[in-house]
Amino acid sequence: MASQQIRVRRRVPYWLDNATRDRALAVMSFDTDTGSVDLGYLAEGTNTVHTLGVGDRLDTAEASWRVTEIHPGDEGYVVLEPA
Amino acid sequence: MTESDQSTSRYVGFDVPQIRGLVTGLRAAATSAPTLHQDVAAVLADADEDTDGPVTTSPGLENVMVSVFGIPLHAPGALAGPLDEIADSSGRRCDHLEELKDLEQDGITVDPSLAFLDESLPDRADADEAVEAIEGLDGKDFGTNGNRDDLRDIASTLKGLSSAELNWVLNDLSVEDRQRLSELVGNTDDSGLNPFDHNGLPHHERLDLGGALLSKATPGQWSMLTQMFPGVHPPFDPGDDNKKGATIDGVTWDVPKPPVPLFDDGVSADDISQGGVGDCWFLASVVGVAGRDPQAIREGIKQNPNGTVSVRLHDSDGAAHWVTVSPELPLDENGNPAGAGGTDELWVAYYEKAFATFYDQDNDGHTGSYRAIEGDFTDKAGPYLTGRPSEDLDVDFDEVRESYEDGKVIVAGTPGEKKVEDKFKDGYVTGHAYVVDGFTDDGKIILRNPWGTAYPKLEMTPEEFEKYFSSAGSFPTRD
Repeated sequence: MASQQIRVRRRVPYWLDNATRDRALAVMSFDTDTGSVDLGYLAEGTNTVHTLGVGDRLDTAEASWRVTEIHPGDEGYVVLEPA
Repeated sequence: MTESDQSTSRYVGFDVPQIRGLVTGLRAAATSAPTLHQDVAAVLADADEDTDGPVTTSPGLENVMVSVFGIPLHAPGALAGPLDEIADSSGRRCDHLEELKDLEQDGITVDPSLAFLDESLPDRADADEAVEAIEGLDGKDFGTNGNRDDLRDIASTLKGLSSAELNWVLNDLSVEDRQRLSELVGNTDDSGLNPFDHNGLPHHERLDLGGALLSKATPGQWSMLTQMFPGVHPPFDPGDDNKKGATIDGVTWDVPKPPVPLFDDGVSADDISQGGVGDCWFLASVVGVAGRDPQAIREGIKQNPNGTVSVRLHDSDGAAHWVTVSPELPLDENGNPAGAGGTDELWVAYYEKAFATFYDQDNDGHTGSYRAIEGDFTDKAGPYLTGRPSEDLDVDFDEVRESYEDGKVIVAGTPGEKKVEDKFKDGYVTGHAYVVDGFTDDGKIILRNPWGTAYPKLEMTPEEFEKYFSSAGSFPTRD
């Protein structure tokens, strides 16, 4: 799953499997003061929110990503690379 | 059972060879009915003479003797015409059934009940009239009023054609004639100097025409029509403004396989799951209508006999338009719907596709694409779904509750930036739209996320709601 770069857009859940739609990454909010993002990882019915900055790792049961870009704003997005 | 067997078995109740046998029998009966009538009438007349009085007082037999200028008014002779009509109609329905089986082989499911839709006999003259009118646009001097009246006349003629007549027209038109019609209809460029220099059909009229034709055309003609009327097939281009936000690579247009129905278990707010398009403001309204008035959703979508789907949306005047789209949907690399909806039923995906086609009030000026429905205000989608005006509410708990208890759908928005308490972190999204889902017994407001049921609902006190939400809009689903 984490074999390629992914972009998680504001307001749009990034479904890790469109067939089931039970696992996703999603931008919950940006913090423009710190430049961080609150990124939700939904799995097994729980949306766990991680506060991440550029360079931080997101480790989940299924894959690990590293945050490479954070673009806040109305059409903001986050870029994750396989870690 | 193979996939192919499963496909054709959907119509197992309709045995086409047997129905065609019945058609043959009906035609034979229609042919012999006048002769039978004459024979029975002759026997009764002879018997009357021989017995010197009415041979029968049975109304059925007495009526056999009644005719005007030799034309029988009752059975069996009078059945000749109706029997022929039934045979014609049954034959057309058999033809349609066989077309449906071909569609199923291509993965396009059509509700079997539609197989018995019938249409009147095609009239070659009506098709010829439409072709002549379109050919007549070549080199025509439209005069000072421009060409819109001519185009509206042609649109009216085309929309009145049956499927068979439309098939003739599309086959008879030259490439140049089709291209000319397309350019004239789509010419909405306005120089600002001449009030008549943008006389193509307005957006919704153009979609009405293209959609009406799409709903009747054979699948082989769909691509021709989407080229003639570009707006009827919205490109899947979410986040495409700067190429930075696109989230879905490898999207293709196709029909999900194996075939998925419009509805699996009726309409429920739980059916909605936002996909790769940033249209939470629209889907929150769809969730609201599905929850409060599921019948309105059910009545607002229909499958056409050729496999296309029509969704009822409304313009800014509240007028209803059936927006027709082809059955293809944007699918991810695994063949699953990439937009709204899920994998069990497709009604949400078609509502989204039709809305992308129809919406014409995008803040960024996009029209006729999925990009056009990304990011907008909470009160704008309701009127498109219901034809009834929405109301911009203050973010006032009591006002929102009163409006909800009045039966209205309430869509509420969060501000672009806001720090929330930890207890809301897993469900609160900034710059997002939610729909009010009710109120708890202890007076908290319940807010549902259009991303889907996998995400938690928010339960907030009046103070929390007014603190963490920044906009709200309401609309009724019916008068």
